[in-house]
Amino acid sequence: MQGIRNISIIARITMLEGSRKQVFHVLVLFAMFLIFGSATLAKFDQHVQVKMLNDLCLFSIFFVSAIIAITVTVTGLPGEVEQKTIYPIVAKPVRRSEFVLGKYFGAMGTVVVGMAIMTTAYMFLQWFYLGHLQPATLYIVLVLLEETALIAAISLCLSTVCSWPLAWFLSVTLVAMGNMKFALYDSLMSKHQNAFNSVTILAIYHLLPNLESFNFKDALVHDLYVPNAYIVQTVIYGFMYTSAILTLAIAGFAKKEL
Amino acid sequence: MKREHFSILAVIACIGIPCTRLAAQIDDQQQHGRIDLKNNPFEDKPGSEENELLEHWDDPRYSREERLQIVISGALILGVTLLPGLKRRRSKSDAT
Repeated sequence: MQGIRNISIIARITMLEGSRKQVFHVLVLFAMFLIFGSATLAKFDQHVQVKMLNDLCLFSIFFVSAIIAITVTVTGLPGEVEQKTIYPIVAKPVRRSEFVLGKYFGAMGTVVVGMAIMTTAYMFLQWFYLGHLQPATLYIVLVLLEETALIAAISLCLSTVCSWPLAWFLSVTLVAMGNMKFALYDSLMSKHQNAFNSVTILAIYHLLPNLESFNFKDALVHDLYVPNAYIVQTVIYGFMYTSAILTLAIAGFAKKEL
Repeated sequence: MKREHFSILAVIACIGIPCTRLAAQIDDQQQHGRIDLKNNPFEDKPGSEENELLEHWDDPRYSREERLQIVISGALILGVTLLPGLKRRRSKSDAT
């Protein structure tokens, strides 16, 4: 119980700290500009306009949430070490794993606040153009939140082993690669690779997160059917992958000399 | 210069050098009027159009890969959680 209390206290402070950051305000404002701008961009008949609105808004929500998640998590741990604010916390009966988890959940809290603002704006536009809300939107946003949680875990894990600019750069690269994992694999394997290259590519392929799986935007835009079993499997996959990366982050931070 | 700066330079070099080499190769092939289409990954392959039309929830590869990564993640969590305990037990048995 004490562990959960410690995690929640650290998470609350991190969340407040994250939501006060200027970069968070700028990014949310940028997302609002994209969301409301997407409504004025499309000058087509209402059916096409709603499709474009769904497409652009969901992309904006994902893009800005991912940038917020990476920026907040990547600067969290190295910032505490650099400013030496970690020492009074570590001196107390707080485990390092609790500190890492608190930082992670706090960063995710900031992301949830940002996502809630963006989703509210998007829902308002949907109601304004359609006259009703599409319930599938909420499921899609929740899956996007899980994807962002996975990205935040990767950034946190990287920030335990390298400085924040490098961790930020590597996180963005991994997100880009994870979003085109299959195309990248097909493109690399289509060339006649030697045995060493093939094994290396295969290993990277199996270790890279499959971020495209969380993208159900097309189902909403084109009214397509998605099997429930696949959604459940994707949710379990996201949870397991995030837990594994967080375990690595805790192990990495436990070995760090402070 | 800090060690981190060297790592950033190394990452940029790892991405930059292959890109410049590829650009030089394409430029050279264009100058000689021949482009190697045999290994061109962007060339249309039979059935590629149908694969492109397939959404990821209908593609069995995605489902298979997800299941495999669930197993890998589970194994990783178990491994990292059990490793300190195993090490402690081994060091105890070595001491006795």
